[in-house]
Amino acid sequence: MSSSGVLGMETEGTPVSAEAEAAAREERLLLARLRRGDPGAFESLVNTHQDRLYDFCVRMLGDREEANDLVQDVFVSAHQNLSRFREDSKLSTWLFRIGKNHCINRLKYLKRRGRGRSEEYGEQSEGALAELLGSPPGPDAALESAREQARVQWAISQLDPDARMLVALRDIEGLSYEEIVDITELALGTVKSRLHRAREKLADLLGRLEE
Amino acid sequence: MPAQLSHRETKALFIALADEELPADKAQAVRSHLDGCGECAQGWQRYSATVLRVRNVEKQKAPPALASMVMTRVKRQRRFGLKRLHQMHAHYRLPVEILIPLLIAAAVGAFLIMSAP
Repeated sequence: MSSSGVLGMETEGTPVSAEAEAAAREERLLLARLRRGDPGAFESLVNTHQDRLYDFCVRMLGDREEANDLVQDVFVSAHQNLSRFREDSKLSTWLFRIGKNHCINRLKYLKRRGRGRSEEYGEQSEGALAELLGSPPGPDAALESAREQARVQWAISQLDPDARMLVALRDIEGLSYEEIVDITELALGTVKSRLHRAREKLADLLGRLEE
Repeated sequence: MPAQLSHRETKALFIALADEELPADKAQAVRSHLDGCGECAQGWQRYSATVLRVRNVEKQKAPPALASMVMTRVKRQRRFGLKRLHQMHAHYRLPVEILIPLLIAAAVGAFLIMSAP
């Protein structure tokens, strides 16, 4: 493999494009409507951000039912605290910050309780993985894709919550380091060193799984 | 000519290389090291392949009913003005050692009032 351009990610630090400016303008308009209490604006906010927040919560909790409840709580909390939103970050960053706090609290609660509400938490993800890996190899692309999903999700679930959060924010949701610093309230150096260790651990876990 | 990097320095730059954040000269120095070091090249391959696999993982879509459930909760809150009332128990807790004697006292009081001639 060549060492350059393997990941094909957009580089940071590029000049602000017209597209980004238009998005910022649209967000300012949405925020103004939200502050006026326009219910359509809040619905638009939910529709815009629900998929990414849900995906983030699924990665963090490893449980779709818990993630579903938690994303609802995040939006209700955002609705209640809209007046406290300082416009020094993007709405998406603010929502992810609320989501991160809810996820950390829910993980502590689930840890005390022993497991999540649905069977997916912990044992089930290992069970699903064993089942998928145990099935005979075939040409079916969907099955192979499901296997790959299960392997990667299992490996992510083995990380500690902080590392999981960084992998989810950076590598799955594709956020910039600036946004991640804003969400996690960690220093940039800490974010990068923890993410580096998390990626190395994921490489080990996935390598061991395939041995 | 960029300075030769050690194994440790090369590995520490994997994160920036994977994020394509390295300046051209640094990236060139890492590539030169990788070309001449099998162990680091293998390490980079594992690292970059892992990042790629995680980035390519299929995104989970929110359940179709999620948005309407959020809007129902928000509307209910607005209609009844019960903002945060459902969370009050989390902030204001009456200890059970106080609550039980209070309930007993209230029951005895009610009984005495009702049985009074």
